[in-house]
Amino acid sequence: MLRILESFSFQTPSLRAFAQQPTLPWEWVRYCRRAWILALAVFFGQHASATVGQSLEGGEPRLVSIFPFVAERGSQPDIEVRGNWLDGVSAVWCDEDGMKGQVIAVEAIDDAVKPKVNPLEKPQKPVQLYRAQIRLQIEKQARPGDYSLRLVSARGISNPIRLQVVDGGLVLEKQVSQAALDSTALKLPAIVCGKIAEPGDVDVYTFHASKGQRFRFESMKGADVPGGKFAVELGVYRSGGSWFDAGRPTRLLFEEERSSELMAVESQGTYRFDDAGEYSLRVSGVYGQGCPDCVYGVSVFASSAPAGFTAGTETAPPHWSERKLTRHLGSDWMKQLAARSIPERESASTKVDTGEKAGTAESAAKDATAIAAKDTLPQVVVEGSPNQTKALSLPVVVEGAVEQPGQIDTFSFNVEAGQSLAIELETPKATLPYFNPRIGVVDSQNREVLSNVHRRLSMYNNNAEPQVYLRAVEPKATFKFERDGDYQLQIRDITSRYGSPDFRYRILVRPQIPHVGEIRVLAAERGEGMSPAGSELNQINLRRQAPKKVVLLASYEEGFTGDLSFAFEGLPDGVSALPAMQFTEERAPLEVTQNAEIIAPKQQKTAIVLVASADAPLTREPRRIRLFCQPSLGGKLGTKFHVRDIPLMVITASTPAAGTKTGS
Amino acid sequence: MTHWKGVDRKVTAIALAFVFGSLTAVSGESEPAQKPLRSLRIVPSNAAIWGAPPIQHFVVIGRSADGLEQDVTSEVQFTLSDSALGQIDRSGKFVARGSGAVALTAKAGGQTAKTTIRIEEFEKPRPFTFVRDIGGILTKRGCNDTNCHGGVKGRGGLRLSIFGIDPREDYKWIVEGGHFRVLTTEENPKYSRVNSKDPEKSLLLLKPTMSVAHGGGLRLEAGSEDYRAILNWVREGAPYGEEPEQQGVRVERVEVIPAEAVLQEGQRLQLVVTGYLSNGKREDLTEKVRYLSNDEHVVDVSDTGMVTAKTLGETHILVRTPGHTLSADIGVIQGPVRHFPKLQARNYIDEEVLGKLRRFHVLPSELSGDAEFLRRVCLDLTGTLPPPHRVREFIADSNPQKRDRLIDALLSSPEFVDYWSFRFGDLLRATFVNSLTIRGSRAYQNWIANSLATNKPYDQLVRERIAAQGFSAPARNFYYVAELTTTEVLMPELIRLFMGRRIECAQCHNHPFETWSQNQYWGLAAFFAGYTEVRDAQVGNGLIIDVLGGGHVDQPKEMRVANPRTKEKVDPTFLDGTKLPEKEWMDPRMHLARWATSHPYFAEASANRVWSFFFGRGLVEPVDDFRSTNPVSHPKLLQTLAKDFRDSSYDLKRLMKTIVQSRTYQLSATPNASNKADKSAYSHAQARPLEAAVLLDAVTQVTGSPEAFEFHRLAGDGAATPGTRAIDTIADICPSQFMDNFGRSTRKALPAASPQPNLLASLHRMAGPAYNEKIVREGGRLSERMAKLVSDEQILDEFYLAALTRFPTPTEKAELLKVLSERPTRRKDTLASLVWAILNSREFAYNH
Repeated sequence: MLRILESFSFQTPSLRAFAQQPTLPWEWVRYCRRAWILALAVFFGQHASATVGQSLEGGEPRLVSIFPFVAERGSQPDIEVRGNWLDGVSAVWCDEDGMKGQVIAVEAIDDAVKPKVNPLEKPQKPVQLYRAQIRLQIEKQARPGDYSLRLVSARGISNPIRLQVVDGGLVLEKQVSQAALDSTALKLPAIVCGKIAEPGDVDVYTFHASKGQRFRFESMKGADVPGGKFAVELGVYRSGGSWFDAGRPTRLLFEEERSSELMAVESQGTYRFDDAGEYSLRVSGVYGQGCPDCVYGVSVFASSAPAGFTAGTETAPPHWSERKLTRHLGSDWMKQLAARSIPERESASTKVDTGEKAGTAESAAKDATAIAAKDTLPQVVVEGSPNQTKALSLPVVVEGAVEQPGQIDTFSFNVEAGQSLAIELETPKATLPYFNPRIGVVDSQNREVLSNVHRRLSMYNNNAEPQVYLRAVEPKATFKFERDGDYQLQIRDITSRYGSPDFRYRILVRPQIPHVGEIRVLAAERGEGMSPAGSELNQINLRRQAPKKVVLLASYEEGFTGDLSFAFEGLPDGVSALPAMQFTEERAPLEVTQNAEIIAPKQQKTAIVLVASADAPLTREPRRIRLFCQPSLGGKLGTKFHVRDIPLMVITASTPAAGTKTGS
Repeated sequence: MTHWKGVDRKVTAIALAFVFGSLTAVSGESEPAQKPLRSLRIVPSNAAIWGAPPIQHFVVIGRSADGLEQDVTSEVQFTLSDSALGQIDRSGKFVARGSGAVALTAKAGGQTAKTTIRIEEFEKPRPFTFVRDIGGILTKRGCNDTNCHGGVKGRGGLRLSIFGIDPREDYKWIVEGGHFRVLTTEENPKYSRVNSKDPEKSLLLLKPTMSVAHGGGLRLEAGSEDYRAILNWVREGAPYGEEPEQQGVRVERVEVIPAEAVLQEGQRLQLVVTGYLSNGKREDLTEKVRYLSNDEHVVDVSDTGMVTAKTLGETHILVRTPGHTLSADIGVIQGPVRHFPKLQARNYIDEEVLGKLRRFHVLPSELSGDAEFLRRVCLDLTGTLPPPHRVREFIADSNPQKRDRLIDALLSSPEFVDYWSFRFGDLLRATFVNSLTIRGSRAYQNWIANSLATNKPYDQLVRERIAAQGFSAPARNFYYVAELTTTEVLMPELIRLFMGRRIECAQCHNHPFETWSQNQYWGLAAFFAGYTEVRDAQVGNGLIIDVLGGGHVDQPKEMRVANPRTKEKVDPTFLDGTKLPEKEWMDPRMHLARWATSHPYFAEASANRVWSFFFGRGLVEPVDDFRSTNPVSHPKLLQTLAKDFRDSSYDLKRLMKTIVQSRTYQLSATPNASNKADKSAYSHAQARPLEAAVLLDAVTQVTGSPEAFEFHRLAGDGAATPGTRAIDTIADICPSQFMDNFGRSTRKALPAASPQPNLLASLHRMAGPAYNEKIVREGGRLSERMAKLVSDEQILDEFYLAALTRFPTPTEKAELLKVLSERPTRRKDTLASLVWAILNSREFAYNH
């Protein structure tokens, strides 16, 4: 053990001290401040084959499901993690602070329920499934919310899997109910977490409700099930009630179901109990779905609010994301945009070099700088006057709500010829898919010149003719006004049928600020690692002399035309990051965005190849490498900004599991 | 597994003989007809003749002592008070010779009847009109029937409008020639059917007289009155003449007398047809209309309107004249019922049905017994057989209100929601295709169930389905069944499903039977032209919106429908030609939904459909084929049902309750001699095959062996949760060979008809697992009862109660127990054979 430990390079004294404790046969995990948590592998017996220096067949650790995926603060839950290539996992890694964990056991498993074979699909080579038992220690002060867990072995670091930390009231299905239709008692409010392990299973929870109590039942989002087809179905029942079968329970309808006006994205509903008594909550998979990875969580809590829309509770994304209706257009929003651009003094010089286009960028940057200097943007609040047109002075944030079906809120503003504006939309309460805000700008002739509706042209229809169809409503639209004059900004729900006080909106109308938008870090090749092409790269396991390509996809917002430089910081010894070109075999797109210049940013793609030299030291723990971006324009540099962190390990050479797929 | 079947053929045969026989027994006999006349009447009464030709047909109706009416015209002696004003022949045809008033007397069988005839301007010829004088001949001679030149493409290069509904177009075809176009604008040479230089060589005359080859055969005798009328018209230059409206003599209404009649086999009856003109006068059309029998096996009708009764039954005689179609309801009976029982009507349904039975001399069957009623009402309201203990309990219950109480219990049961979700799932097409997420499929299915659980007003349910918009409306998921919900599918489906009319034909051409035009079709289709999906990757299927509204940059121009013949864009237009104002185009489907559910068609079509669920046939049958040529069997009843449904805010449960509470519904399925031929007068319950899913559930219920359903991998490879019934499943999600063989709906199109017997189903009955394995499966009802050492008699009772909702008759029990006692060593096999026989009986497989 000591020999192995000596080769480690610990970053925190506490972890080093912890690792020296003779705590065999467990492996311990310890967290580090700000996303550095590491557990040590100290396990000799069955995991000897997974030690450093040995060649490993197969792929990188891949986590498929976690149960339970909900845990309480201050608890020490035992967690089951299922996945592929988990043999030899020895440590638990968490991207965030607040918990530590240890691997207790790992075993290869053979699921009793085999996936059905579709005769139309090529048979897939099964990949061995593993089950890892881990024990977490969650601090009492841990922040409630989502955490990303990973497992670490000599094969590298796994993909993250989500664990939700809650305050309390958690009931686990496996503690109280194993067999189908065996019920367990709940004391509400509660959070239940279970698994529909086999097709057709139903988990039953009984509870007492007092007369007049109103509870909301919400399915919690768990990890995605392989195939993505597991959907939870909830039902609240009272016992008795059928002339044919006195034992048949009667399903009670959620308030939303009664109205037929609402249908939840996830399974959820509110019920008011008119009579005191015993009731049951039944959890199953839609159409009898069930599998060993089909985990669920249901939150049951008292609800005094009327049934209706609930705003998305998604946590803020860890990376820059500006094209979401749920982002907050705060008073410093334009400052943030300007920070991803070229400062005014630099861009001023571009006027000489690039002519009119650069001049536009210059004026926009000037505006941006001017606005960025202000702490607060002027705001207009619409208060129940949907039929009145309010005049705006740009830039401005307008707030209001589409309270009634068919309601159109209208604002007027004046622009100069050639002026380029960005119109950004935020939905602070109800959002997609319930509230689908459509904005449009009409000129003095009542002709609409732009909208935030994404239109596509497809070759697919019955007559093989081009067909335009609507794709989505977008959170942002940009437009260059060719003519000066008065224009009207209109907002409504894209349907003509819905309105609600919760249909709140905030619209920022401002000069365009050329800047670097979202930068996605993508896996390079299909089948390499676990990330198919186009998906986010969440970890890098680098074999010696086996280059790994990282694709960077950057959005050029609002006419930004500069160059972007990228750099990794914190690379381990012997690992280099090399600029790369890549071959792309372009195909004619089947669908073409019709109004791309208004609703979509331009995008540029580049690649970086990471390579570990033949003598690069193997990493026994993941290293967090940091990716930075620095824009430049006209020979001037902009401010360097952080893009994201990625855990990286240098692992032993092994045979990639080309073409293999997951087997669960 | 099935060895016991061969061993115990005897028990099978005995059991089958019992259970088959019970459905075919006939009770009672009616009395022979009595002939002496009690009264006499002349129809039409107080006739008025105006203009030339001054003709009026009369029929003398005699009522015999048994209450039966019959045409005695040929037996009466006619006298006129003033023979100078006209003469009448033995057939009752009166021809006027002068203007004035004359009294007509008829005598027969010691009875006398009188009426007055008023004659005005008897020599004044009516100005020529093409529609009446030429169109009338073409209609009467059948030239513009659907199977002749009135067909979609016409015949032999000549196309006429169906029954002369478009005289202008007919005139052009005859005089100028014409083109028939469906989806093309190409034109071929035109040929006139009249020869102005040599009128007698006109094709319009040569063809129907067979002077040249004519596929339609001889339609016109050369030299006949009609021949001369056409010839003279051609000689005069084949004018169109004035429209009847311009002359003030448009036929506003047509009446046939009698509109309802009862005949005995072999009897004859002359129909008299009168046209009511827009100038207040009347015109005898008896010889100018076309008569057609809807069922020539029951009655035949001549070109002059003479009806001849052939076999027992009921049908309609259709009467057609340009622009009008009406019918006479004719019943053929074996003999009159002298003493019609005084039956207590429980509601307006009984008043109407029993009233017609009385008029038609058809004796209703007895009220069903408790067991018979219990099985029928349970299957009809819940699709579920009553469990044995409930059967015992119900039969033993002496409370006179027990049937009503049972109805209430069933209507509020969760099984009611299950079953009607299944039925409406078929109608509203709760299915699954790749373009729909499983959550969406489930949401749509749940929306139907929840609507029924809350007894949502039916018009609201329909509006939600038609107009579903946005994300919140679960019914929007119907619109993701993309290939099944094209505009061309949606609109006619809406009209069929919710308004009871079939308009599909008008997609390509004007409707061949009715007055639906292509413009009407595409005008309605345009309401669906703008619906589209806005996607959201986070939630799978996104939201449905309408984008017909003009002026928006995101309005695709393609989202307007075009008439395929004219290629012109069509605006949303209601059936009456009213266009939806453009300012309302933001929500066209909601306007369509409101229009559809407030239209009189909606209530009557909906009530008729619900009615059909309980009687096996609608008051109009097929239920989605209302048309003038498919008359309603009980017009007033349908009217009342529709009004009641509408007045109750389209309360489905209330309508069902009204129906099942009626004596009509509760009549026995055992016919009597009087009503054994009746299929449409509701004199007795009709046996109806159980739907595939209900049958499978019934087999499962009786055997006590659950069916193991598995869902398709597209739905996530699930397995049904315990207690899942066949009626809960969707064909494309939950495969079932049993249900496929027995004809379950795939819900890809509206169900056209009830499943018919077929070979696969028969084979499945003989050797399929549902009929064999389930019976002997461990844990099933049979093995469980045997394990409890229950006696043979108790087991017999148990299975009879479970499957047939009755105890075995003493004869059945005695015979079967004897067979069982002869096979003490093969008890299980013998009992299994018995159960197999019960499950294979019509008594089990039918609701009756």
